[in-house]
Amino acid sequence: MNTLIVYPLVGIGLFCIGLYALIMQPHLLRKLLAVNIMGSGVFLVLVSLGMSNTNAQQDPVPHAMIITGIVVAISATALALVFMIKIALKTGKAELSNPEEK
Amino acid sequence: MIIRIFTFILTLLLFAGLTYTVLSLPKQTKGLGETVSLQMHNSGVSNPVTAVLMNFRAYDTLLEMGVLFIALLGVYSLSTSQKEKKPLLQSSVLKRLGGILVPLLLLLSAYLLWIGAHAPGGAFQAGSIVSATGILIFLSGWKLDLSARHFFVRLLIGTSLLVFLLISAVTLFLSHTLLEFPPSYASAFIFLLEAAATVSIGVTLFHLFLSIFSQPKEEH
Amino acid sequence: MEVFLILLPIFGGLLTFLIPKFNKSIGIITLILTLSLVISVASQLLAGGSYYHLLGGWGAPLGINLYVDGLSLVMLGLTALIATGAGIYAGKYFTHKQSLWFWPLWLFLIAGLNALFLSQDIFNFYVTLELIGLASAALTALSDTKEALRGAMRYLLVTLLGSLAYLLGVALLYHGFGSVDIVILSKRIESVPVAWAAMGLMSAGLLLKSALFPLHFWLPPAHASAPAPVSAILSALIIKASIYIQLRLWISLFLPLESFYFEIFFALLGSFAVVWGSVLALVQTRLKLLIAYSTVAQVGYLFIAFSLALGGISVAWSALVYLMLSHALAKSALFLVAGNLLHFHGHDRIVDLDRIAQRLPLSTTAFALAGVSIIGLPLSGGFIGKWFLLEASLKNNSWGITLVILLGGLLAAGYIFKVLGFTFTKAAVAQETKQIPLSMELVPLFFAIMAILLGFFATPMLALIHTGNPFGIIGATP
Repeated sequence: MNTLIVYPLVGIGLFCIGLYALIMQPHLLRKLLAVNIMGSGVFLVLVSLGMSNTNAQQDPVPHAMIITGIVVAISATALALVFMIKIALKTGKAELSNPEEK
Repeated sequence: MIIRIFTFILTLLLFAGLTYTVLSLPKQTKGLGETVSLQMHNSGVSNPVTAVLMNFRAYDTLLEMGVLFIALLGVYSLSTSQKEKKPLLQSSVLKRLGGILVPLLLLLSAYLLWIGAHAPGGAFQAGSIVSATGILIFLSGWKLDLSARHFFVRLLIGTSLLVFLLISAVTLFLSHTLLEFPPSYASAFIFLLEAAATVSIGVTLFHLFLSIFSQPKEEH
Repeated sequence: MEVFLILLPIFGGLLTFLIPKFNKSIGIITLILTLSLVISVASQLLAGGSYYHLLGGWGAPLGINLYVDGLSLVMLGLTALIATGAGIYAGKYFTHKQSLWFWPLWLFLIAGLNALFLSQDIFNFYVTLELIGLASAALTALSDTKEALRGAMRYLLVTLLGSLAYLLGVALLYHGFGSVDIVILSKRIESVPVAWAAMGLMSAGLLLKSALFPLHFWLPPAHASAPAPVSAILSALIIKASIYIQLRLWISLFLPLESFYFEIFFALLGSFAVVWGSVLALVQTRLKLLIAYSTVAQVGYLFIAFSLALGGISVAWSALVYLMLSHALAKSALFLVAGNLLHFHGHDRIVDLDRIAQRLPLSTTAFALAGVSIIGLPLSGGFIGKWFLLEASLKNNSWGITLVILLGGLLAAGYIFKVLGFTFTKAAVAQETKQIPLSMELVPLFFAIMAILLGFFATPMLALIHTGNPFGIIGATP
C-alpha cells in the first residue's frame, strides 16, 4: 500500500468539504473561502496522484497546470471579493438572499 | 434542516465515490514525465516546470495572463473612488523596516526570476514578490501614485500580453506555428516572456489588492 | 489563420485598454476583422478539409493542438457575427465610464470563446472556460445595480464550481490515461471507474454552466440583470460554449462508456427544462426575465437532441447544431429588443408597454421575427431544428419526446404572442420615453432576419457543419 495515496484522498476530502460549505453557508465570504478550499483540494489531487510512482522522476506537467490554476483562482477570488463588497454596500449584508424578500 | 442532511449525505456519497475511484487507479500511472524529459534539451531551460509552462504549454500561459488581466478590468470597472488611498497603518517601525526590506525583496524577486530557468522559481513566484513589495510600500505610507489613469501604469499591466503577442508574431513569421521557439533562441524567448510576466503579474496583483482594499466602506 | 482569431481580439482588447480614447473604433474594427478572419478560415476549411495547428510545434501529448472542423467553424462564425452586431449595439448603449471597461472585457471574451471553439485539449478548455466565465461575470456586473451585482456574484460562484468539478475530472483523466489531448485520450479510454468518475464530474460541471434544469437557478437573475448586449452574448454563446465542450467530450471520450441510462437522463432533464422553462416564461411580468426563462426551455431542446444523438440517431446532431445556431441569433435579437424597450420606457414590465408597435416598428418586427424562430414556425431556422428533432424522436419511437417538443412550441407561442399583444395596446399610465438610436434598432432586426434566413439555407449550412465529420466517433489523427 502506497502511503502517498493519502494526499489525493485529502484533496478529495477538501473538495467535498468545500462543496458542502459552498451550498450551506449563506455568507458570501464563506462561500468564497469554500470555493478556494475546493480549488486547493483539486490542485492537491492533480499534483499528488502523479506522485504515486516512487522511483521515476516527477511529472512536471501537473505542476505547471497548478500554477495556471492558482493564477486563475487568485483572479476569480479578487473579482468575487469586489462583487461581495459592492453587494454588502448596496444591500447592507454580504448574502445572496432572494430578491423577493427585499 | 432537511436540506442540511440531504447535502451532507450527498457530499459524503461523492467523497466515497471519488475515494473508490482514486484507490482503483493503477499504482503506476502514466504521466508525461518521460515525454517531457526527452524534449528538455530542445526547450531552452533546464527546469522542467518552466519548460512546460513557458514552452510546451506556453499557449495556456498566454490565456492565463488574459484571465488575470480580465480580473483586473472587472475590479476596475466596479471601483468607485480612485482618488484617496489612505494607508491603514501609521507606524514608524513599519516605515523603517520597509526601507530595508524593499530593496531586498526586489533583489529576491529578480533572483527567483533568474533561477526559474534551472530550479523552482519563475515569473509567478517573482511577480507575487513584486506585488508584496508594492503592498509593503503602500502600507508603510509612502506616496506611490500608480493609478491606472497613467498610460505608463497601463503599459506595465499590459506588458506581459504585449510581449506574448510580439513573440507570437515573431514565431508565426519564422515558422507559421504559434509560439514555436527555435531551440537555439528558446532560452532568450522564455526569459523575455518571464521577465514581462513578472512585471505584469506584480503590478496586476498589487492593483487588485489596492482596488479592493480602498473600496469605500459605506455608501456615499 | 485560425490563431489570429485568438491573437487579434487580445491585441484589440489590449489597445482599447491602453488607448481608451479610441476604444469604440478600435473595438469595432477588431470585431469586423475577426469576422473576415472567420471567412478566410472557412475558405481554408472548405478547400482542404479539417485541419490541425500544433501550437509550439510540439504536438500532443506534449503541446496543445488546435483543430478546425465544420462544428468549430460554425461556432466561430456565430461568435464573430453576434460579437460584431452586439458590439455595434453596445457602442450606443453604454455610458462613457462603462465603455472604458466594456471594450477590453468584450474583446477578451471573444478571444476566450474563439480559443474554446478551436481547442482540442481538455486542460486548455478549463483555462478558456475560466476566461469566458470571469469576463462574462465582470460584464454582467457592469451596470452596477443591486440586481446585477447579485446576478453576477451568483453566476461567478456557479461558474467557479462548475470549472472546479471539470478540473477534478481533468486531473482524473490525466492520471488515468496520461494525456489531456482529446484524440489521444479517445484512443486510450476504457470503461474503468476513473473514466466514469471523470465523466460524472466533468458533465456535472458543464451541465451547471449550461443551466440545464434543475441547475438553471442562476441563469434568470444573471441574464435578466445584465446590460442588453451582455445578456445577448450570455444566452447566445456562453451557454453554448459549455454545451460545445460537452459535445466534444461525449463524442470522442464518453460515447464508448455510454449506456442507455444517460440517454434517458438527458432526455428527462431536457423535457423538464422545456416544460418548466416555458411555463415560467409564460407567467413572468418582466420582459427580460421572460426571455431568460425562454433560454432555460431552449437549453432543454438542446439536451433532448443530445440524448437522441447519443442513442445513435444521427439526424439529431443536425438538429442540435441547428437549434444552437437559430436560438443564438433569435435570442440575441430578443435581448437587444428588450434592451431597446428598457431604454425607451425606463422599465420592462410587459403590461405597461405603450404602443410599441407604432412607435418602434423596427424593434417590434425584430421581436416578432425572432419569436417566429423561437416558436419554430415554418421556414425559420428554429423550424428546421425542430423538424430534425421531431424526425429524430419519431425514428426513436419516443412519443413522449415528440409530445414535449410540440407542447414546448405551443407554450413558446404563448409567451411570444403575450408580449406582442401588449406592444399594440396603450398603457394605463402615460410614460416618458427616450429616443432610440437607429443602429440599436437595426442590429436586432438583422439578427432576427438571420435567424429566419437560416431556414432557407439549410442544405449548404448542414454541409458546412458536417465538414470534417465532427460527429464521427474519433477525430482524424494530426
